[in-house]
Amino acid sequence: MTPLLVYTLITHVMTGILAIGLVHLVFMHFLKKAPSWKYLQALSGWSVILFLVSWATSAFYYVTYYGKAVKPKIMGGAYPWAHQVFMEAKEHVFVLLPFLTLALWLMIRLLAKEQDEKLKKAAMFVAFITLSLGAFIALSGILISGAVR
Amino acid sequence: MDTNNDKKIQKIQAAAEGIIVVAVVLAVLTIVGELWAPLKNTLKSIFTHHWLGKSALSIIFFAVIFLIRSNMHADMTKLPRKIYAAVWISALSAFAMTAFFIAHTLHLF
Repeated sequence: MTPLLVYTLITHVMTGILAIGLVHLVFMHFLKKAPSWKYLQALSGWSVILFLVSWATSAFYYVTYYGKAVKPKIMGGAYPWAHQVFMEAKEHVFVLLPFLTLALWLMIRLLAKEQDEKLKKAAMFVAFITLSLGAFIALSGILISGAVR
Repeated sequence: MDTNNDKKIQKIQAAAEGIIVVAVVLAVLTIVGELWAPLKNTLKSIFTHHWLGKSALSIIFFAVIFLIRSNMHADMTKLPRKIYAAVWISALSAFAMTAFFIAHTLHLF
């Protein structure tokens, strides 16, 4: 594995986890009676950027290295289902996350200007599902890493 | 409500509709692509990798719908319903793809 691939993988994992962490913070702040919309706008905006960076770096790592070097190891090992189920699901479900966080950011921009309880609840639901899917993806990543060893 | 907020409502509606289309297209391309090799091979031949193809098509579908729909009329009272639809369809898409890969691994089809 070249240093470029190592840094790419680290960037993919770190930005992905950070993005999920920021969505978690947004969700927790929604529980407050009067959240700081400017703060939530910044958090959700950064989560969009981080998810996009995670997506781009995963594309490079997955296409140039994973398929040729990691996947055969997993498929030939004791836990081929780690790739067949978790990697396959993870790589496809991930694609939804940047779009969901973009919608969340747009909703928070409106909530900053106009308070609406129904819209706030809908935004909270977007954050909750994004967080749940993100947690599934992160746990799948841990499982896949374990299956390589 | 001021015009600036109207534009924001239009953009949220456009994003929700874009998400619905992406969630459906992604699930269909993923599941059908595994069951019908020509689809996966076509994605590979155009985009060099099937996953890059699905990623690129998701961005294109979302961008086109967002650009078209973000200038169309949007109703604040109907907005939460569209957002819930987008989120539920995304969750359903994620569930369908995961369930498919479990069933496929177990050779159920």
